[in-house]
Amino acid sequence: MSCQSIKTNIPSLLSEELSPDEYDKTLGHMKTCALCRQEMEDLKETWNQMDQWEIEDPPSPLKAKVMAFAREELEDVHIPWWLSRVKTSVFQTVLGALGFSMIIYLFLPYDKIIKLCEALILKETFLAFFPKGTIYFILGLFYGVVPILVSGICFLKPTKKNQLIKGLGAGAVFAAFLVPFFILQCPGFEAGLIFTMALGIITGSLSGGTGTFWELNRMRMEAS
Amino acid sequence: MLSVQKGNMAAFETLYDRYNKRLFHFILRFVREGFQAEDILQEAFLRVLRARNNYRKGYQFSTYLFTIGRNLCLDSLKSWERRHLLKNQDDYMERVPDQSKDIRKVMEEAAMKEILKNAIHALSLDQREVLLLSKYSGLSHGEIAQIVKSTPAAVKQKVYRAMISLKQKLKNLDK
Repeated sequence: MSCQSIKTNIPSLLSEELSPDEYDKTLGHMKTCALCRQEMEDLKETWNQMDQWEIEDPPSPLKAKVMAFAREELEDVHIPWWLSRVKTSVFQTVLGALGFSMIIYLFLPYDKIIKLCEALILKETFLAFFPKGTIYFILGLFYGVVPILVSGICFLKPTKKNQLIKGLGAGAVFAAFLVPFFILQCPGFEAGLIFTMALGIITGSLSGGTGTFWELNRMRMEAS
Repeated sequence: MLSVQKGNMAAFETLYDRYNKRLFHFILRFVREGFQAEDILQEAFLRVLRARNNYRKGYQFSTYLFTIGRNLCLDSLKSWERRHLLKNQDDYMERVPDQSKDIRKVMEEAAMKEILKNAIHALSLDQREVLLLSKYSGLSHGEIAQIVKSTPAAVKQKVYRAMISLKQKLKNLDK
């Protein structure tokens, strides 16, 4: 073993972390190398000097404070992690559906709505059971549920980059669902369509990404 | 920790009793503001509690806890640098001197302690943290490597360099 690798072993030697084999090799080298031996003596002295820095223990009232908080936290009704995530996602989905349904209401006449629903395999006979406003909400829910709910529930590693990708993915899925609008070629809807697509991508990305990021960030410890 | 996930208060108390001193000693030596150490210790355990559902079987709790503590210390130091507080932490940090000792010896020990503290605080942040974790926290280089997101070999190297720097600084300050 070289002197450099032996010297690097000194802290491990002092903290008793060397394997028996490394220990024998290190001490064996020290016996024959005066420079390394001197280095070890110097660092051992420094290591022992560090023992002089004594510190008080944490004060007892601190434990009482931590335990009081722990009691409050642990005695709350225990919500499984997947349920809390579903709760957040459902909340986002309902909000998103309300928003999208309003946009659809502004830009799409009712007869086109029915055609759109049929394009999305929602039969007119089924829709007849619902009031007009509810149909808009159902459409809004449909356009909101896939990207937002999926991105909300999806449990990926909580890094900022992944949240952004997830949000953008959510927005892309949302944009794909706007294809029927193209098929229907709703008159006077082009501007609204472009606006809705852009809004869909932005809200899908932000909602899916930041909603999940907010939820995970509440629970995570920033380690990276 | 798995018991804590199920809401076991006694298990959390056991964890606190087992680790609070070691973590506190590391935090107190690492941060400049002595009274901040209490807040950091408290926050570290509270974060463990809040994130208890993220803990998976197979994690080593000491590494988990010290990672949280270390990151809180780094945040605190960044905040300190911004605020430039110069609160004297000596009154809080030091043990009450042993009254039975000769006053000269007490003063010599106090002086040496001051030199040592200043020398350690003069090290770079990454050298300081690995040295403190290695010397005062009872963690292996492998565990320290997990905490600082490095390799055991790199940690060993860093501890070695930190000790060389510390040795030099102690010589310079002693003069």
